[in-house]
Amino acid sequence: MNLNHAIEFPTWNDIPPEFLTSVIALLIIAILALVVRARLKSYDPLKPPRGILYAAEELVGFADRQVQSMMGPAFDGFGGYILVLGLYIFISFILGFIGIPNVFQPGSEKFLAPLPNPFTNTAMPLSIALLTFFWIHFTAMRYKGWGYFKRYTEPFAVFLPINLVTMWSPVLSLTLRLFGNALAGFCVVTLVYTGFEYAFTTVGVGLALTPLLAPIVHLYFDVFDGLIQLTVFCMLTMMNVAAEYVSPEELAEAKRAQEEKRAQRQRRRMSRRSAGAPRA
Amino acid sequence: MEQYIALGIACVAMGLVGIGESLVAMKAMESIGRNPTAAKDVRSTLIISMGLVESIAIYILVVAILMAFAI
Repeated sequence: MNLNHAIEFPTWNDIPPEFLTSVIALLIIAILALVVRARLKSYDPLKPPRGILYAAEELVGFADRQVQSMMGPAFDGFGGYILVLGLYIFISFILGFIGIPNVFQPGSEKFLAPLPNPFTNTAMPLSIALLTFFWIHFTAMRYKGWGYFKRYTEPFAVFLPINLVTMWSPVLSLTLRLFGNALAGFCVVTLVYTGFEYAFTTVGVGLALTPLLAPIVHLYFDVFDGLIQLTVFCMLTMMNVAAEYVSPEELAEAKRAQEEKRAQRQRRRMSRRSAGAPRA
Repeated sequence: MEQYIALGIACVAMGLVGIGESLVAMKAMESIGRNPTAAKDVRSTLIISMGLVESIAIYILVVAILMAFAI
């Protein structure tokens, strides 16, 4: 058996172009954040903000308000994560629709081909769905402590294997939702362009009419679909994470109820024993 | 041949999702008609629940693409 080819490290040209688009989206977000930070230093708080500062203030305020109304006051700093998640999904969809030429991989087959939407590769939606998974379990562990492990044996200990499989269902559904949407948009847009190719047999007519008709398709399948899916993704993340939160009072109450139940059981056992004693 | 029959069945399932989505829209329109001041809240909830229902159609699409190209 030849093990030399068992593990082959990908070269730069083997990297899927989706990863490059994702890195570009992240770079755009990082540059925007740095610009806002630089502007904030010379910002006079007495004047109303203008330009990019105003946009940033509105966005952060919107995300914070959404988090406040969906998750409650316990998740005060969660708006930042939700904002970056939403910006990442939206900018990725927009980049897939602009189609920057792939100038980063000279020598590969995909040189100068348009960079695709990162979510047409299953790895990208899976990675952000895994982040949501991490947040869900991190929140549960943080607020429930050792009581976190009780979720695997509910309602009985027999349900352990079922619970171990159920644990992954949000990851699967979030991944496939985003992936399927991006892929469906890509397929339909490609189909429409192919249809134009057959419909407009004269080059001049095609050049005149395609720029008028294609934006409608792009508007629905890239911009609108992206916005809806980013809303759904952020909502599901917020709801799933907020469902794991237990306030300290609730935790204390649950503990008290459990102790009461145990005491009641013990009392019943004692009374049964005392009732059974004369008979014996 | 069999995979084309399977794709046809998948398209029937997509039609069922269409019925479900239209039910969502119908109820939302009814509630807007009954209480027009709540239109803003109903609209946002409508769009989110539409997205959730649509995800079933998207799962079917993923399965259909897998059937068409992978098998």
